[in-house]
Amino acid sequence: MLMLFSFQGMAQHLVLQGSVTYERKENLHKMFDGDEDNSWAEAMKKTLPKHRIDFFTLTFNTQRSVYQLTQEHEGMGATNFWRVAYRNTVQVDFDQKTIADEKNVYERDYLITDSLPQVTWKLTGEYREIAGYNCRKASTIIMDSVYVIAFYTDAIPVSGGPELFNGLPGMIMGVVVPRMNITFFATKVETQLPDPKVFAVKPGKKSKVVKFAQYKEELLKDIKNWGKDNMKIFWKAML
Amino acid sequence: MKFNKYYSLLLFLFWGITTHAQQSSISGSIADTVSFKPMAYSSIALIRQSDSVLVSHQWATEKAVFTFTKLPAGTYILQVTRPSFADYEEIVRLGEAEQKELGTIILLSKENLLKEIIIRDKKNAITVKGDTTEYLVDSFLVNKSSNVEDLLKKLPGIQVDKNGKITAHGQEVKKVLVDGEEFFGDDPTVATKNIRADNVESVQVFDKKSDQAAFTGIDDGEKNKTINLKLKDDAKKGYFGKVSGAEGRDESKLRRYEYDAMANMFKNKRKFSLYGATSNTNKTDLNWQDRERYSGSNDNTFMSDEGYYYSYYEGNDGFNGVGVPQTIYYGGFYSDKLKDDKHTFNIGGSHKEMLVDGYNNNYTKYILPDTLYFNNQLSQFSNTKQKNSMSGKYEMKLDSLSTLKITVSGSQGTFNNRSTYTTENLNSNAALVNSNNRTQTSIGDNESFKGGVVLNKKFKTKGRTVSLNTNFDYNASSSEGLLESETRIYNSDGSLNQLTQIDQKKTNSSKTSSLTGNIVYTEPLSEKWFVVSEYDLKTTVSESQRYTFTKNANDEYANTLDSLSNSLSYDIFVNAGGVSLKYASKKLTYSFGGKASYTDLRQLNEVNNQVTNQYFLNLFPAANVQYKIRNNTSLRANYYGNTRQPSLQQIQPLLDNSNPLDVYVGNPDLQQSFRNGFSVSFNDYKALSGRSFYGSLSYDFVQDDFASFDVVDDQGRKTHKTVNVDGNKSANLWTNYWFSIKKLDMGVSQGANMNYTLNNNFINGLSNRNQNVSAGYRLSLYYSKEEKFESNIGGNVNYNYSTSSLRSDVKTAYFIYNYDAGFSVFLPKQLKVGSDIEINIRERTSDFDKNLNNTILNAYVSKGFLKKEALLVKFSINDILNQNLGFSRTANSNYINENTYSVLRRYFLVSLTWNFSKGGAGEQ
Repeated sequence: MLMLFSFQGMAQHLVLQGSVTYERKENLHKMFDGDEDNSWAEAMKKTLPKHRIDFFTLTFNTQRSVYQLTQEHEGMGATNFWRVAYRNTVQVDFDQKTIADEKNVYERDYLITDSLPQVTWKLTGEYREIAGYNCRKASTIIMDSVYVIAFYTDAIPVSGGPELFNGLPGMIMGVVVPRMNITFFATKVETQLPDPKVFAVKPGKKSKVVKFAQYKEELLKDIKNWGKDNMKIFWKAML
Repeated sequence: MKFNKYYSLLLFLFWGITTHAQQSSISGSIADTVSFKPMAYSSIALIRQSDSVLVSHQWATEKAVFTFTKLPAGTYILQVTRPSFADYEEIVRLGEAEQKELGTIILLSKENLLKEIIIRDKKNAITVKGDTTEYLVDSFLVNKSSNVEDLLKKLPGIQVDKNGKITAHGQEVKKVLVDGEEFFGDDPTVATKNIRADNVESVQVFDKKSDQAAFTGIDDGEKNKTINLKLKDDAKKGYFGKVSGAEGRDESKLRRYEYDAMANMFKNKRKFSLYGATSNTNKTDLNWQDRERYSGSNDNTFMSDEGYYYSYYEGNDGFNGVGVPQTIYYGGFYSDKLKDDKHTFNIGGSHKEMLVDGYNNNYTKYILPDTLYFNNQLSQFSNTKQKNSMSGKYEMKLDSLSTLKITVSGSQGTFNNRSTYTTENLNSNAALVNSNNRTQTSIGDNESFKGGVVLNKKFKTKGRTVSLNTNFDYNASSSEGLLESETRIYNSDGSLNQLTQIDQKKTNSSKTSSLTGNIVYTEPLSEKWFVVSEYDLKTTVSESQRYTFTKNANDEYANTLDSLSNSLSYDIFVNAGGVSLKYASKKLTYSFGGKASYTDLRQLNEVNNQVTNQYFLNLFPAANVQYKIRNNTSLRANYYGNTRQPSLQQIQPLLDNSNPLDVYVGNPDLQQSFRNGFSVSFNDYKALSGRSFYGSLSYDFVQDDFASFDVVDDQGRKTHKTVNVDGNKSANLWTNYWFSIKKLDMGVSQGANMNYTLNNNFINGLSNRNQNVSAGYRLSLYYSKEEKFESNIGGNVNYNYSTSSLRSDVKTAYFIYNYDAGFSVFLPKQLKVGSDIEINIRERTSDFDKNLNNTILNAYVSKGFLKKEALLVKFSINDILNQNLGFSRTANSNYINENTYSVLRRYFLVSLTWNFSKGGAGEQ
């Protein structure tokens, strides 16, 4: 198979397996926009770095992928409260069109097993380069109100991506969620054959196994009285 | 919002189309131009032409064939892409139930790249920096009412068509940023139609992704032409404030009032506020929120590792609740941030005057080895003070790793205090043993100045930090006053034995200045181990003069009374160093180490030129462990030890004859004491379930603790002295458990606490062990519906039990119960009604038989007018039942004390409040 695609020599080869490293970057100071008159917000901004940066690795072949945290931002104790579903482990089976997404939300661990979420993408015909790959732009609205921009490359013919983002004509190399002040950008692509053990992630024993609908319902019930920022927490938990 | 609706509608439409689809299909195969080989893994996307939505997508199989089935009829763009090949796009019109066969699609390899053309304009109003073209808006005449779209039309090189589509330098602009931020998704017209042109300082046009990345925190780096609108600083300007007045009467028909006025004006990051208020109720300061908004956020805020935020306010010129105050205060505050918050500074000033008068009575029972006696002290006081304060702060980020902070503050004030006391001592048969009547006055002034510089620097090596801290502190005060006192000692038959009269003038003055330097350096030893070392230097110079004068033959206070006068100066030099080791991993953090300080104290008595030198070595060992069981669940253990020096007052007191029945004697043999403290705490917070538990247990014991050595003579005169004693200890348990009942929207908070103390003292030479146990439990329920009502009900019970070894026959035990409840109902038309009640039941002790139970009931009704209750009329009654009572009780040694004092009781107020705001963050 690989032989087949190295024939032209001049161009980017198709990458059918390997790993993509993503930099997940969250602007922590943006959480306090609109609270400028508040000494608490001021103190938080001083305590927190402007950006929190974590690295995740998506290991993939054309049948499946595993997305997991590989390098966590250090020294960030003060942000626990907002750190909802930030170290998800997402397994996707492209043939069966199923996912297993392990999330930690405050004191609870969930394992969501469900079919691959369908995203309605708009292709907007713009381009940029990410990690040396030419990418095309697409956009969508998730959770009825959150606008998402994604960049994908057809040089990796796998319809996967970071977190649960999927379904584009190529690997998603970048995701921008302006309303949540979060970006995911690929920093490195490696094309070695993945160790099959990588795909055999065992979920935590204490994780509660749920479908998406149940997860969403439980979450909404628990945070309904959390005040004006509760939807921000909900969106993050759903990402 | 407009934007969201638009997309939701589209999504809805797609669903509609998909579900009602007829089954059509498209199929074909793909090959390349060079070898006509099949091209597996080529991307074949089917895009709906009307809205660019990706309807379906496939990867070409090994034979490079593709088939899309179950498609609704419509017009599609079939897009075939593959790296190094030109995109292939074909419009496919698919009819109902049509099976379209497209045949073999040939991909062409890429050859041409479009060259970008940059137009450069060299007028003054237009500058070109790298790839960015910047237009200064003020150079282009626009109408006051025009929006950004009108503005863009006037800029050379930019065209806007009738649909709002912008073309810059020949390319379509697909994104408009506002101050480098995406305004609303990627519809450029949202920004251009909604922002007024005269709020824009400049328009920047750029076409390279790197430029945009530099502007935004969010980099979605377009290769397209992008416009950034830089807003004028004063576009974010506005003001907010309030004016409020309340008038009423109290139980004795005296006028009660509260008046406030405050305003804050802001322009970008610059804020300026003014406030002023006067009242003769217990409202003697701005409340927390107003302080935050109008007097500048105070400095006493810090953030714990868990992200909990603490803020406290040093109300040292506040009101302690004893008496009825009358207050007037006003002030102002200015703050600004410059150069992307690199420089922050603020300055504030205030003036405050307060008059408090009232009574303060103390009833005390002393338990002596062979007898009991009672001391009753009644006092009337009237104190006035005024204070002018200024403070300023400047903070600068020197670079990404260093900050410099400079703070200064100063105050100047005067006071005038007058108190009269009537004290009597009664023996166990309630017969008068002695009595004292006195009047003391004191008029004076005080001033203080503080300055500090803090430099914090981090290094590139993770965990290496250095912090330098210098402080200067100056305090001075002087006063002058009169003491008139009459002391009577009675014989056992009730006849007068002795009468002593005092008529003296006293002057006091003191000055203290100190300079402190401190350096803390943290060095990482490895990923997880750190060593923290610190060094302090402190030098203090202080002087104090106390003179007592008696009257001469001309009835003037001119004779210095040497036994009650002195002039002392102190030089204190402290050297301290410490080192501790710290280990930090994700779950476990611990540290241990200690600090030692060496104090050199030199005291000079300028009256007799006597010099006293003292040296102390103080040790402060400490260790702590924190284990993080989960996020928001942790266990901590702590140990600290510290030596404490006897105070100069304890060793060599300045004689004070204000109450000749109560005399303090120094003890030059007093040793330093050493305290050991242990504590364990556990906290668990479950955010989703709405549960939190906190518990702590602590234990302290003191070696060579300071204890009082009291002698009471047969005439009821007391002398006190401080001595060392072993065996003092205390233990404390505190718990709190909070949970919510989700079905009822109810919050429940409950907690229990327990306290044990053992204290030793000496009475008439005999050693006495005092033991005190107290225990309490509290429960509160909260129930609220947003915008409808709020309510709470709760109560707590406390039990107190104390014994002393000298009089094991005398036990003091009592319960105190407090109950409280409150509600507020939000009725239609901005009408609100609320009430709260507090019931205090204090079990009488055998020692005092006054009824101390009371019920305090408050109620209000308010009506709002205008938007968001901008105008509010309120009628409130405080303490409807007129039972308010100032009370405290202490029973922890060989005495029991009950303190009652005057407080404001029933009064009503009618108030009118107007809140105003315009623009920006003030609208809340």
